[in-house]
Amino acid sequence: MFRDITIGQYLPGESFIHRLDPRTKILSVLFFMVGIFGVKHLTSYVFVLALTLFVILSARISLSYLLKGLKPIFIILVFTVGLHLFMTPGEELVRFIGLTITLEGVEKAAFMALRLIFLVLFASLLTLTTAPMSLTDGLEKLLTPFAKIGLPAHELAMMMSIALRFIPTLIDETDKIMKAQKARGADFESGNVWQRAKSMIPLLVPLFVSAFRRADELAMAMEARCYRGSQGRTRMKQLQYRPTDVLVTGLMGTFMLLTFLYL
Amino acid sequence: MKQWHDLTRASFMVALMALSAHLQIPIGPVPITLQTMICIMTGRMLGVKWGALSMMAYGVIGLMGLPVFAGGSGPAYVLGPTFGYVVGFIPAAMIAGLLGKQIKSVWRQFLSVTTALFIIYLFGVTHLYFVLTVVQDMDIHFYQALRLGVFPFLMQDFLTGLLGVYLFERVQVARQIQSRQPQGKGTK
Repeated sequence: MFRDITIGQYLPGESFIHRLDPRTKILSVLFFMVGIFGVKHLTSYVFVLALTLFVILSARISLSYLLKGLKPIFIILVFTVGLHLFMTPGEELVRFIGLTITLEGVEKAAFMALRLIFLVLFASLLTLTTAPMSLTDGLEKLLTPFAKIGLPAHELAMMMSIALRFIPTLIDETDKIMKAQKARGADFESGNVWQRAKSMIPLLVPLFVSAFRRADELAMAMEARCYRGSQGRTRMKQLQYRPTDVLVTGLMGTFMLLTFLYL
Repeated sequence: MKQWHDLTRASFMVALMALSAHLQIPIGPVPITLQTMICIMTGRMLGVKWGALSMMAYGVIGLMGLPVFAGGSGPAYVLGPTFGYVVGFIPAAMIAGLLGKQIKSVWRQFLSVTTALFIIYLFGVTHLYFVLTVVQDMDIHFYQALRLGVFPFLMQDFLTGLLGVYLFERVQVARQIQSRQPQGKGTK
């Protein structure tokens, strides 16, 4: 049931992109995502393509692996393309069984599809080249300025780390409880909506109870080690914002501005 | 001192949210996930502050690209059709915490489930409408967005929401029984 959950698609590597500060990479993806909405013509995507290819090549990630990441949006992609292909009025190109494909339709479908594809490709580059824990660290640092308006950045990052650590544990636990309840005669696979929902109770109650037990044990362990939140906490691995990071962030910011002004 | 218990519990609720995105009951055209139920339970259990933080952490993990959302994740998910529901989980957990925490009255629970669901759908369908019209550049009416994003789920979400109320009581009872047993006797 849970075979498709793999925590983190991170591909370890030593490339230029891998070594960038996580903050730089998060900001770059944000700039890129905003920037791509500034693109107004189909031909301007040449520049976006060049940028994306450059990043992929310098991250040394195989293109086929990256394209596999497009699978989840495949249905949305087909839907978008289909809709724009047949629904846009304009100069007629082909007509069959009552459906017409127009020149404008083709153009618009390609435009929308490319926008989606580039968005997903570039975003998946972030998670492919950054370990989940360093992403959490980067995010914590980026969110620290918001602590002034009451957002507990450190607690948020801590919760994310704990959740990431325990998702696989809880998956195992669910599997175990399911088998145990099946051995006692529980039936998870038949019946109508209401019966099925009810059959989840013997699975969910033990799962919740065990999750809370683990949570309380963890809290006790943290207290025993004098965890006090962000106050006066130091790190084993400090994040470093190097000149290259400044350069990359600046370049991506420029890209964003340029797409809005010229492309 | 007590607050780290809230922190770890909130983290485990995040993990349970992630798990339930994949724990689907495959029935009908739209499979049931228990996410709305767990969101409402989170609010009820942890209160306004930690309920909201928990759902926030869930959203951020998904945006970071870990597969914790039902149907794909990553920063591009912001423009996906279902991101609004994830955003809606945050105020919904807060409302559930505000209305439902520590109160046993059935009507109060009913009210908190209904309000929380309303808020999730409000955010969800508004975002869906925005994505379809602005991002995908389609020409649709708001009612069509409702038909796509609310009506198919309404009944089952309401039922699982009520199931969550019942489940919460059961879990509390089970935990009380467990705490009476000597330590270390449970499954390890």
